[in-house]
Amino acid sequence: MSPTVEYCLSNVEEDVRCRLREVGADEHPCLEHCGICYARPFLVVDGTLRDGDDHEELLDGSRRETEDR
Amino acid sequence: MNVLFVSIDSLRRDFLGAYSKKPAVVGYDVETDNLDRFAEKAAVFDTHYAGSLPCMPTRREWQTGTQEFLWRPWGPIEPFDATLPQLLRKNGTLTELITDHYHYFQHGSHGYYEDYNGFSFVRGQEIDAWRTVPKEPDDRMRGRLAGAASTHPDSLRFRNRNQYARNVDEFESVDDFFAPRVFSSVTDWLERNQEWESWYCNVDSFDVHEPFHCPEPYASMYTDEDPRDGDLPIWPHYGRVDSGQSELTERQLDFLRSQFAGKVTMVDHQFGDVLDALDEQNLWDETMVVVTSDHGFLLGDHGWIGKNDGPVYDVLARTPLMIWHPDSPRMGERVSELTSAVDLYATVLDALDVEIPGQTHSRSLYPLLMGETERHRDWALYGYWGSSVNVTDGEHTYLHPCDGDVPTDCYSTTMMNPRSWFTPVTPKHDADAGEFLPYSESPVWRYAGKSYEQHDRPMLFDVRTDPRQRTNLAGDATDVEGELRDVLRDAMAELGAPETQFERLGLAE
Repeated sequence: MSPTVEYCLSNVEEDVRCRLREVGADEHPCLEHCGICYARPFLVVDGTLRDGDDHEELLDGSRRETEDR
Repeated sequence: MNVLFVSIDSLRRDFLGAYSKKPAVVGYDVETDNLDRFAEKAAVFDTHYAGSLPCMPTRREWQTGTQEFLWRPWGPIEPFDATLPQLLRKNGTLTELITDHYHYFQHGSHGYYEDYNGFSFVRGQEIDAWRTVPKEPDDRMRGRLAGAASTHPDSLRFRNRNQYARNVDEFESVDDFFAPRVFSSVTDWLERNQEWESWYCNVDSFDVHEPFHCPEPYASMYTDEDPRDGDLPIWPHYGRVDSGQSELTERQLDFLRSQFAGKVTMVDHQFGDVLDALDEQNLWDETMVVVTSDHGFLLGDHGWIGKNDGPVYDVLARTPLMIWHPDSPRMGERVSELTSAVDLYATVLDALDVEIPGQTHSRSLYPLLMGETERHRDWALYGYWGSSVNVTDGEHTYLHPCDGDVPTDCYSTTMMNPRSWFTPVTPKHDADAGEFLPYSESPVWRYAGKSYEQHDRPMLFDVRTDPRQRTNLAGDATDVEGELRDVLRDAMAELGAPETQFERLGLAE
């Protein structure tokens, strides 16, 4: 089963936003993680916050975890 | 004449006995004896709508008469705003703000308290940057603040929910909590300021806003659960209740509803003390009293928890409004006419005999209150900047979506963050400047921000027959939908909304 991926509008550039839409991620106007949002890329995957250097890496990580399950 | 203006944040009107026998989302009565006592004495407005949402945009409507969401999001008072305290103190009226609403003191929302002769700020609500100890907050409390447990308490980043656990760490009795401290400040202020001839006191209670943290007896008043159970959150994330970080079990949702209800009753008890103070000091004959809220809070209604993310249903937008005025012939009556949050600005000025600025979006309720007219307004606009624009004629609500791919322009003398309101402001390198506003000759910056689709299709509800908005008539009742779309377009044109607003909404001629 695909994970539920959520992203914050303030945390993505337009190209990343398009990419996240392609994979069916849920967009939010704010995910209430403003401190992390201000500091670096993050996603919420199945309700858990994941932050890292870029969104693609975070997406890959969540995909790998799903495959390993 | 005096004005006591009481805002109770996030107060759903269906939780008040004056508006509903039982709240829509729970099967029990919620005790609001004091608000109901006031409602019996006052005029109760049945068709009152929010305008610009959420918290601070509503306060700019109340304090400056500006329906801002067509031009800008959550932000500061602008240099060209004629605020209530500015105009009132010039007219010889003492102005006072009593609040625990910490957003007044946060990034991006300056200018709201500085014009008052006096203000009292009760510290510690939500993520108010107050206590820095204990360094390791109580684990059980952290577990109840969704998101706090997964954020290391050592993190110095903005909006760390562990802040709340620190702020309330030393709370022991009900009197330590926020509403009791705010409303006791009000009764104390009324007692100590009797020598002033005319005053305006703005009481802005952050309760019943989340976190839904209640002391006893309120925490156990509407639930059999142990309110300290770490599995039961008191601070949900906003979103869908069936997925993502906002997902809740039925048990968790029931508990949240019970804590919301507990907060409503706690505030009601405190408000009762203010009513008693008005009695004891014989202030009713010389005081207009306004009780209202900025918006509601979705507690599983339509599958949502919170606000901001989804369609602006009436649970959020149709707010309580009750007004006592000693000279009004309509006291004790229900007022069915359509009214809007922005109208309270001119109403306060009228009550204190101050000239209403010509450029305002506000229309005084005074003629309605004095029984001089039965018609107030044909439409009310409401919404969030950069999302849907919604309209009601009092009989239908029409929620018009935007195209999320088309940016929304932001107009302000400041470079505010259009969306990340609570973090340091970043410069807008693509901004241009000019006299872009129809209600001020002041030059402002103009820069683009991202749009957000709260829903992707129009929504139309007949709120006379379907007050809970269960049946979307869009696409079926085509005549009505066309009429409401025309009302929306005409209302935006009347306000002089930017051309780009019509374009992003697909409403350009």
